[in-house]
Amino acid sequence: MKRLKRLDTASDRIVYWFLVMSLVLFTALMLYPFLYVLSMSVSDGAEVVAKSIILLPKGFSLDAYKQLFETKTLITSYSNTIYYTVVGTAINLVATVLFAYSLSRKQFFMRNFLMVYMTITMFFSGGMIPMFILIKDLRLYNTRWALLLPGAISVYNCIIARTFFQSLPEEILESSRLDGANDVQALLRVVLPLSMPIIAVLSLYYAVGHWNAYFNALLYVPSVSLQPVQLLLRRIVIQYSNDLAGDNIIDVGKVYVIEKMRYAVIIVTMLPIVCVYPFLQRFFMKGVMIGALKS
Amino acid sequence: MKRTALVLAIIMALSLLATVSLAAENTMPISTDKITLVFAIPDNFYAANSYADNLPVWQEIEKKTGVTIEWQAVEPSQYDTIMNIRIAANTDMPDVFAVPGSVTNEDLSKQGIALILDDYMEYMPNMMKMYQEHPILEKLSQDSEGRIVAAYIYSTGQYANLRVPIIRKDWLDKLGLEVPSTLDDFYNVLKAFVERDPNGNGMHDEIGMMCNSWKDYYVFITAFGLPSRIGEFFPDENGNLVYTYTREEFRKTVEFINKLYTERLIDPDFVTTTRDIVESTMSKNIVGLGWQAPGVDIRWDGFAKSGGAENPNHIQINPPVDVHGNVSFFTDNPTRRTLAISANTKIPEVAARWVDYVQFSEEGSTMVQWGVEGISYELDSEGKPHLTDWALNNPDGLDVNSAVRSIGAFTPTLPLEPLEFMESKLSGKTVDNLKIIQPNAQDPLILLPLTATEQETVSDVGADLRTYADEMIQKFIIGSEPLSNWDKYVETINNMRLDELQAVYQAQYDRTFGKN
Amino acid sequence: MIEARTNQQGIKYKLYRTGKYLARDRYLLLFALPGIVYFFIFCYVPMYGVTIAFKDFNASKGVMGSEWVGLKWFASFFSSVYFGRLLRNTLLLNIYSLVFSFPAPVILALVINEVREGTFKKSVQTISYLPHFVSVVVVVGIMRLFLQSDGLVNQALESIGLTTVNFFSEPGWFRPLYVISGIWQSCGWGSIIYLAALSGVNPELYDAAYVDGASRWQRVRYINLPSIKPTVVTLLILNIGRLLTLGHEKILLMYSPAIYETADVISTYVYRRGIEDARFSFGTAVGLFNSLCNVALLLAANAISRRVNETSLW
Repeated sequence: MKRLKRLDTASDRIVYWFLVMSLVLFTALMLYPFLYVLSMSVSDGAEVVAKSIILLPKGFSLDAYKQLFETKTLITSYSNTIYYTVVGTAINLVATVLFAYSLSRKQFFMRNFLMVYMTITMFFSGGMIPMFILIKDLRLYNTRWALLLPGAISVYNCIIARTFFQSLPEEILESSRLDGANDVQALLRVVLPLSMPIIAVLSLYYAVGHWNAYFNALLYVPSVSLQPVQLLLRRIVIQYSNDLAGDNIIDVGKVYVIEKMRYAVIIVTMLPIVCVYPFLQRFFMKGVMIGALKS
Repeated sequence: MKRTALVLAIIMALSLLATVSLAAENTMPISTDKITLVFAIPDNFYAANSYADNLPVWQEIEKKTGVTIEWQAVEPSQYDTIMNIRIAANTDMPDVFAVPGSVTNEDLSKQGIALILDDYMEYMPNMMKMYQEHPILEKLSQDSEGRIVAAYIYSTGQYANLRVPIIRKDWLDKLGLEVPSTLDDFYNVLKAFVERDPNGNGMHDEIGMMCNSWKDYYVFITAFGLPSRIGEFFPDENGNLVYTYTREEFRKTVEFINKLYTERLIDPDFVTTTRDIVESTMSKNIVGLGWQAPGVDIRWDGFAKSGGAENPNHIQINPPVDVHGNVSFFTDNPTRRTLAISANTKIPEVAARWVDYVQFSEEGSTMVQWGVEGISYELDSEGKPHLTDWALNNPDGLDVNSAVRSIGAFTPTLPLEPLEFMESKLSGKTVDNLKIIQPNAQDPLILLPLTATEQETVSDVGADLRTYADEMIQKFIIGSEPLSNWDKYVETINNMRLDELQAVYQAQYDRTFGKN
Repeated sequence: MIEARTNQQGIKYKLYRTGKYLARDRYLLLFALPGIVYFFIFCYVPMYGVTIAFKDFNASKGVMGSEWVGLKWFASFFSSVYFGRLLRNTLLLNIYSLVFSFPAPVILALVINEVREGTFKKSVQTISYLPHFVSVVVVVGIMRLFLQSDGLVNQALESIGLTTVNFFSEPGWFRPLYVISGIWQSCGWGSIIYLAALSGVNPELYDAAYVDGASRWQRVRYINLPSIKPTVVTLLILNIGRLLTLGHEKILLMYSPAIYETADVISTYVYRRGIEDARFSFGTAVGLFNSLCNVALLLAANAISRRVNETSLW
């Protein structure tokens, strides 16, 4: 795998540096919005209202964050998001792994039928309203289950998992069967220990999905006390509501803090994922690869 | 066996009698047993304190009635959507709920959603009393077969809640301008606000006019001879309904707003602005003119002060006069549908008495409107409530409405603020200015409810037609559609089954005024 | 052999065989059960629910009990003044997204691929994935804060003497904003798959090209591009197939009545009319129309690609 370094012609070198520079610019474009929002959230209130910040913060104060974490609405919706992410991902994992494993066993007599049974749902769906009626009829409307059960298995993720299970060497399973293990024992003792990479991929995919979801909550969960933080963010930033402050925005300092809180709430919402993703990148990419091979 | 049956019958009859005689006065508590009532309403407008947190007013009401409330308080902007869905499904309905606007009385009875209150009148003496004082309420509460399906309530505050322009008087004074009266005056004042830096910060950051909602700018229609807040249809002198938004008067209004927009004299984001945005902007001390109810003047003074204004002075003024010097505007509708009881409730008597108590009895309705005695209000020697200093000059800096809401009073199910409340709340300049504008206020049309078929036509035809009209008007104002295309717009509107919509409202109008 | 048996024997045999399988695969069946139930309830039942598009849905009667009304809702949608506009908006928005967003990750991957391995390359990649992990609410929220009337962008415009723009209330701005933010959010992540394809290129090809005196551009043109072509084509077909399904979650956050003219698409219309106005049957009919167009597009895309490229999905 040696690739010769042959950047010797002058024009080649110019092109090379041009490419590098354009990537630097590209990276800046990717990062700038986040840095700006971060700066706004910690700057001095008056500067925020005057919008005089361009990149670096002017002044420094964490009062917006302090205020944010004293606001009950934020605490509630943030804990809701954590709940949906943790419980939802757990449900996803169990359902997906079990289903994918059964699909991966060649001798399973329903294998082909179930594969078709699942794939059909990728191409046809009832759409927004029949789904909505279903949620209501199942009495899931305005309960936490409405955000946990629909989407319990993503077909795409299930196919990734199945592909992985199929790639496990047949001999290992064969030998465990010879040892007298049934499918449950084989799954628990042999397959799962070997499947940590794919389980990591699945959990990350599902968890990010839960963390970032807002639309199902908008459809199915009207009670603010059950809503995830993304919906709070929608109210505060998109609909520009002064919710976080109640009506009490008369005194000067508070107006400033409210403006800052709009920025702070963005940071708080994306922080966990942004902090974690660089370290888990390789798992995500693995998922893309397996998925790509399949399609 | 027979004897047991007889005894049972007698016991039942006695117990019925007992409840009836008890209920005649609706004495409290409703129950000494532990009873829970599920109650769905839009959540507190003072969003920091949700009703679900068991606010003081409702603790008091629970104590008085002996009925524990299980709240289903929904974000106000989402309430109608959510309730529409629940009503359509009619499963797990709350015992008592606020009825969303688009649900007709017809829907409530025909689909078996609401309890027919005629059978429970004996438990609702206070409501009956109000119905006798304002006979229109009874008609409003009925479905097409004359059965009462929801409680309606009447407000005395109709003429104390006038929505008119509010202007920065201190800016006018600083710039040496009079309070505007004609349309030209308004234009010149707005121009001066924007161009002559009345907030004195050396920047041209002023916004001439800013309203909560884009339709509020329609107020300028008074300059062309129609009352402001005229609505979609209005009756001509022969009692025939006319569609407002294709009228020449309205075209001229749109033309004027378009001029203001093009010259950047109004909020550039007027289409998407909300009340919260207005308030955030107010607190930058850059807005000269708005459109609001009394009391907001004081609230806005507070905002402007927080934005650095020294002596901000917002005052309510009349909208522009027409060529004859006349001006008029409609008041809010003093009636309002409030609560209904679910047909499937297991505790109909309790629910009826409870609704009667909280919305109609003197004690209950006072708490719901005024808050807790000794905190937000006190009774004078005649037993009339007055707001306390805590409510009027709230230590947390809340305005009056927010202050009483923060303890759970002044729920979204109430109609306009009652006269006494307004009188107690308003003071000084607000009252003086209110006196100047009051003579120009007039009663709005109060129409009987639509029938189910009528409502269906309205949602069928109306949804698309209204979206189209709104969009076109916005485009005319922004200028993305030139006003020269007005005739084309009128033609399209006429082709969108406007006649059907008009016929529905005409029938409703005729029914109300006994024309057929 | 089975054909030789009588019919009855065949059934008996099949039952016997199934019974044996059931016994043998009982644990696998148990594993599959949650999935079978899940797909049945949350995918197949709503598919049946689509029948309300042909009924006058009444919640008290339920999906099955409501009366049939034939094509009433479709007729009502086709004759609506908004039909043409919704179709146009849906198509244009998706076509613009495809035309502008699709090439972005390809170009990015080709550029990144040219850079030497090392920390710089790694960091560029990592940072380019960042927006992918952020929710649409955050993305639209940031856009709104940047583009509000006194926001950063408008201040910049003002300082260079231009007039300010009301980005979120002018119909003309909606599509560019939608597409650009889409590229910003997804191009880094989208490039992974092409980078993987590029990393599979045999290094000897480069050496050979170098010996032949090929320029950097020629190497890209004749080695890199052909090597990612199958991936590009496959993804293109997949994207065309999804052409009409994209985006209502983001549009709902971005639009307002002022820009319905360009921003209102079929799926947002379904949400507004169907869910918000609770006109379930009408909304379902509109949604079904959308899905049908979609299936047609997928089939067409696949057929075209089969003919042109001999690559197809199935």
